Amino acid sequence: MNDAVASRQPRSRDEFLAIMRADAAYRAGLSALAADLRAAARAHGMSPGLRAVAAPGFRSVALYRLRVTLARLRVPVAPWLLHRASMALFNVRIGALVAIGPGLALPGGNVVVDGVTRIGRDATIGPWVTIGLRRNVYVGPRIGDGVTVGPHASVAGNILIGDGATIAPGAAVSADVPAGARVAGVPARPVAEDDREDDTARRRD
Amino acid sequence: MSKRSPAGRADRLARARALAAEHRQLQPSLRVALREDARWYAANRGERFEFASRLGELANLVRLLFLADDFPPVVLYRLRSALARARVPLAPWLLHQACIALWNVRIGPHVVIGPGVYIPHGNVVVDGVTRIGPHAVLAPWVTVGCLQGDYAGPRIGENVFISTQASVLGDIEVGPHSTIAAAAVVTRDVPAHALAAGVPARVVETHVAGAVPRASL
Repeated sequence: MNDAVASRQPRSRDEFLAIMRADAAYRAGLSALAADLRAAARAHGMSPGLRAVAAPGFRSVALYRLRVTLARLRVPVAPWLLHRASMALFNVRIGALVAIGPGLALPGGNVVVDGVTRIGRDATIGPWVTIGLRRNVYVGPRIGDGVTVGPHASVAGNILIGDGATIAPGAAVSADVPAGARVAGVPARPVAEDDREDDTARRRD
Repeated sequence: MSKRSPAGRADRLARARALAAEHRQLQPSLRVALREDARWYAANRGERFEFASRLGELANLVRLLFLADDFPPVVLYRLRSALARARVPLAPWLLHQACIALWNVRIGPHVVIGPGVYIPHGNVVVDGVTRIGPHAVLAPWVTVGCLQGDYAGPRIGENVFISTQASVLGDIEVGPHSTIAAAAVVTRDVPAHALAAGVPARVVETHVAGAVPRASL
């Protein structure tokens, strides 16, 4: 772990709780559904109509937003049931302490997000992705707006991913990524913008 | 890599059979395994894991069944291996299918997992004639298994952490207290207390005994 990441670790329980509370402001519930539908339609390459509502990339997100809203209203049992349903139907596992802004697209399901983790607006996350913790570190990544995470990538530990960054398929990211950068490989390193191949988010017209 | 020296297919089969016979003796009993699994889950979740009475331990196990996303597949796996040992028909197969359908946890019939395994987010494939020591952590999208043309899988020591997207493949030994980094592909022996990373995996660091931070247990 580099020094910048290490210095960001919460030193006390109060610091840890402060991070959790700050994240809660980013956690979007059902109010984000319209933005999510537009994001899902973009990721699946369709117009944001009825067909996009039926797309699994939208239904899994809708289930998550409903769960967040019910948990906020302190409804018992239902959030737990929705979480288990999301695991069984879409293999989408988003932890209770995760905060995700509006405009989330999960075009392929199969996503694990856990820890005290924050994801900004308009994120696109491909299948078989892990976003979360490193061994014995309970604060996960802080991810900016408009970030694309390719399939089979993993983003772990208390790191910062800048706005508009792209994580290439199969990358294992464990250090900060600057805004707008594209990283690839194990361990992930920046690659030039111009050799980008098809993104999972690219629209298929 | 002496174990994968040019042995014929028949030799490899014989070795896999011998390992499988050894494994049948190594399976932990249902009670010991479940007790340690519940303790290990609680410890990794940063919760209380020492209980004065049997009743406390049982309460902890039932609590984890509901609160830990992926404790149920471990319990189903333990039940399944106990039933298979007792030669009960059909039930082990049904429990296995339930693990696959609901948690995407696929653990093969010749796998031995020591008491105490933590699978935080399901999505794990363990197959081949494979041995995993006590107090292992298997992150999501991990494959532990055999290489094509051989049934012998890895023998993994105690307290090994296998990080997300990693593959540990073939007739190899992974030493106790080692860590496999995210997305590593391990096809060679890993010594004790090592951190193996990359494709193919190399040992990046070796910790002196006890220096690796871990959930205390």
